[in-house]
Amino acid sequence: MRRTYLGEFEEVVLLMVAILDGEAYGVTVSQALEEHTGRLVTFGTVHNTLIRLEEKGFVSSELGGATADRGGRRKRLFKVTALGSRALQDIQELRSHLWQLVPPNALKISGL
Amino acid sequence: MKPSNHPHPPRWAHRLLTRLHPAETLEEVEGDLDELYAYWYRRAGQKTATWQYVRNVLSVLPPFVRRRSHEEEYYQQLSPLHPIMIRNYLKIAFRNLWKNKVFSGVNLSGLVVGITACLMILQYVSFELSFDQFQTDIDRIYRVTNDRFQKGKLIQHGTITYPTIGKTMAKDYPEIEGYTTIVGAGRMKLRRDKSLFPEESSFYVDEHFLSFFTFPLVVGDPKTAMKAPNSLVLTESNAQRIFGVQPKDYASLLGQSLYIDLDTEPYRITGIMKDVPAASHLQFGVLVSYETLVRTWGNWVKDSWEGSDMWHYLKLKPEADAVALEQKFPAFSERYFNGDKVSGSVEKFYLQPLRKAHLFSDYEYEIGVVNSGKAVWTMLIIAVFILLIAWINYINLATARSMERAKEVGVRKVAGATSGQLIGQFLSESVLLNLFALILALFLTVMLQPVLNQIVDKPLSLALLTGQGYGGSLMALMLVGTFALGIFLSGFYPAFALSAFQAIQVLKGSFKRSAKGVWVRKSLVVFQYTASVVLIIGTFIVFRQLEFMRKENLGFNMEQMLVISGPDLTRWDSTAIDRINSFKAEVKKRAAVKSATASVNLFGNRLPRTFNVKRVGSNEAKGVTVSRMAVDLDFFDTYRIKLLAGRNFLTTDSNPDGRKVVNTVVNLSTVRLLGFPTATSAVGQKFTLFGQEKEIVGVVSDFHQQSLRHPIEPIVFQPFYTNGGFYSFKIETSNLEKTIDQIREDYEAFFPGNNFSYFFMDERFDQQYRDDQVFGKITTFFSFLAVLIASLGLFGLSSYTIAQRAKEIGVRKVLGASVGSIVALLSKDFLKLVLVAIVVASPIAWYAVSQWLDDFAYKIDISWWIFAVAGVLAVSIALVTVSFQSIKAALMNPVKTLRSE
Repeated sequence: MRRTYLGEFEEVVLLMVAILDGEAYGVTVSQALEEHTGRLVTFGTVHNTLIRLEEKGFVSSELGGATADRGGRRKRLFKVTALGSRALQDIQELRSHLWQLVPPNALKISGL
Repeated sequence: MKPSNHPHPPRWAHRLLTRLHPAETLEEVEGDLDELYAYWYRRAGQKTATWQYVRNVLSVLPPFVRRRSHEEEYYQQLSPLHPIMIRNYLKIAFRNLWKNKVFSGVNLSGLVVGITACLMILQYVSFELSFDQFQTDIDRIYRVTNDRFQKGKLIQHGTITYPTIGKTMAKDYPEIEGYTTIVGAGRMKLRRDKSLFPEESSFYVDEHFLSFFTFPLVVGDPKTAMKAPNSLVLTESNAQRIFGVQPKDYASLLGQSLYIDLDTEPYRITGIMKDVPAASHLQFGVLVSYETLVRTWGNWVKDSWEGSDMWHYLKLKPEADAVALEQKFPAFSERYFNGDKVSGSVEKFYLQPLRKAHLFSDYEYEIGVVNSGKAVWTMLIIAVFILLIAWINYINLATARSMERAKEVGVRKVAGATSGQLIGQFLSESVLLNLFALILALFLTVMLQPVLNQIVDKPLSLALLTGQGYGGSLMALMLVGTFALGIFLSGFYPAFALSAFQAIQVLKGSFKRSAKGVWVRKSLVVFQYTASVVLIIGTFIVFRQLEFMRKENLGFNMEQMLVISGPDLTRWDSTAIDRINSFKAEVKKRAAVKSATASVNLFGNRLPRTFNVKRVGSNEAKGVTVSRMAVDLDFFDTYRIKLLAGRNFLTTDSNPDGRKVVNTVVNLSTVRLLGFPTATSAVGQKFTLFGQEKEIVGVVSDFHQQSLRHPIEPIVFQPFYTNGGFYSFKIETSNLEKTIDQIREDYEAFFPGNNFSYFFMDERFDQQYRDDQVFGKITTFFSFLAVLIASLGLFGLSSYTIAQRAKEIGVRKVLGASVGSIVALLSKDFLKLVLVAIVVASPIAWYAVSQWLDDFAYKIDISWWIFAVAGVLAVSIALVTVSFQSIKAALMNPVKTLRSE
């Protein structure tokens, strides 16, 4: 089976969902992105990415956790699915494998 | 809560969001953005927060926002045509059919009977329509037909005409590519050495015949085989029968001799041809060269413009226009016949396409096998109706069960079935049932094939389906297509009706059957019964006409009349008449034989005609046309034909020299035609026949010389004898076999070397009605089937509708309704439909039967009571069918139906 492609931003968002561990929804993911990566993106980008990740089966969601400061509206809380965590681990493994293949001096700044 | 503690994003931006953001994610996005606004507000103040809010709202508006798909699409949705779904449909369909055995049984038997009947009729129709299709040039071949008028009156409408016609037309008109001329030779007896072979129908044909038609020779040259006098071509089966040869030895037969009838000169075999296909209007086993005829009949068979016994077929050039050619024929007649100066009649010629020669030919003196195209089309219409009725049954029963299956549909829909999948399921039920029925029907057709072929006396087969029948493989494809379409359409309506139910309504129990569905079902029942009533009325009329023809007083008595063929292998000489008379006298000595007569011709055969018969003393320029019949002096007594005036023949009236026979007896029609006021006044008067003066010595009453399809003809009787012809004996039937043996003994003693063959006059005469009787049998059988299938449908329909009203019936009974009133109530609805059907059917039936009756010269009146009887019959069949269910329902204990709920 061809593995579903995970884009760079998608990967970061998926990691944020994993970091937030059950508390991930639009607001927290945006804030975490800003906090951990310094990236300022529009809410729509985060929203769309989360939907796309869910369609690809990497996260699952459910509605819940209505609070007064959101006018009693429910949040959509995201969780990493087994498929999602597997994808993250695969990427991690692939990266470390690739890192090991890089010759020791290749990435050093030369000339000094 | 104070507004300062709870900052608000700009209202217009919020409104923009609620208006434009997709509804599925609005709640969460609204909440998220509110929360973010509060966050920005805290961190950077109202201005930045407002700006950020607006920017982010825009980022979640179309077209930037991604739409979240519907919740249910998260389940894996299979297309209705997915293999898994199809497997599921079939499984469910099987279970459903198995579960409702009565429903499936009623449906299946209706379909099987319908399809079988349809297949059988299609075989017959295909066979009839495929006549002469094997002729490669069928579209270019025409037969010349000839109408003759005397004093503006049509006196002959025939396919025979003068010997010169084909030849002259081919010479005069360049658009004619070729022609062939045929003379019927009747049935010939073939003789090889001492052995005699049974009669074979045969033609005298000219040298063009074998290359003109597609009758391929196995050995011999088609161009020359029929050129020389006394040439003979045999069919393969005759060659095998007479010479006992294998196909590889056919060549050895060329040049061998055979004898025909009494001829002393041998005939030389010049070719062996393939057997004539059953679907050929020309049927023969032997061909003899036309030149032979010139020797025996004289030269007139080549150049006469007066004598006529020839059939001419023309083949036009591929680009020629038959209509244009036909328009040149009046000039042709004028050129060669000069009004009525040459042949005594005004001659009109027409071209009849070969395609019409079998089914659409209403001519006298036919050469070949003719059937009624009307009958064939009627059969086809019946076949279509039967199939339609069977399919309608399916539609009716399937939709009638909708109540029962509504819950199923509701539950399926709730569980996530799409209407495409539901349609797939119901369609597969119908396809399964239909296919099953089709297989059974094919099996049944093959099983019944021998019986069918025996009844219709035709070599029918399923060739139509294998692409070898009428229309070839295209027709086979069309049939399969029609059938597939029928299955599809009959499954389609119920499938749509059932899958359109609203799950909520059904499951809440507030579901009502739609008035439209009831209306459709009702009209389908009306259609079925209309077809049935038309068929019932048709069957009645056909039977009454057949009965009428059998019972009608023919004007002569043919009961207990044994007829033997004359000794046509005995030579005619001066002692012949004496021998015939002594043979008659000898046979009459036998105790069982009451009377005996010899005649050249008999009832049921087309009589020869003579034109230009004139009363002596009348000053009319042109005479009339009469038929002739040669009989002996015992003929009228034996057949009990009444003598109206004058006397019977005397022995002195006849003479071996035909020209010396002057005295004639005529029938009443002749008397009228010649213009005598009464029978008595005609006696002693004279008229000219073939230019010779004849005297009327007696007048007999009219009788039906042929079947009732034909009008009574004016007949002149002459006391001629022949060695051929027939001997009729009125006999006691008590010891039939002994009597026949005695007659055979006498026959063999008087006429040694002849074949003794006999038949009964009434049976022979009734053979004229064979096609009609077959038609009658077939229509009865299939009408019965149609009514049966329609009743099956009504039975099923009534059982379901009544089952649905079980509660209503229960309440009515509790409130004191009687069984009778409930039965009446339940039957009323169905009877109304049948009554409507009768009203619709009557005019259709009236039109159809009057078309059929038009072919008969003497026919029954279509009286109103036939319609009434058919109506009563239809109503009673419907009533019996419905009351099965309605009585059962009315007798049911109301506690049973009312207990639940």
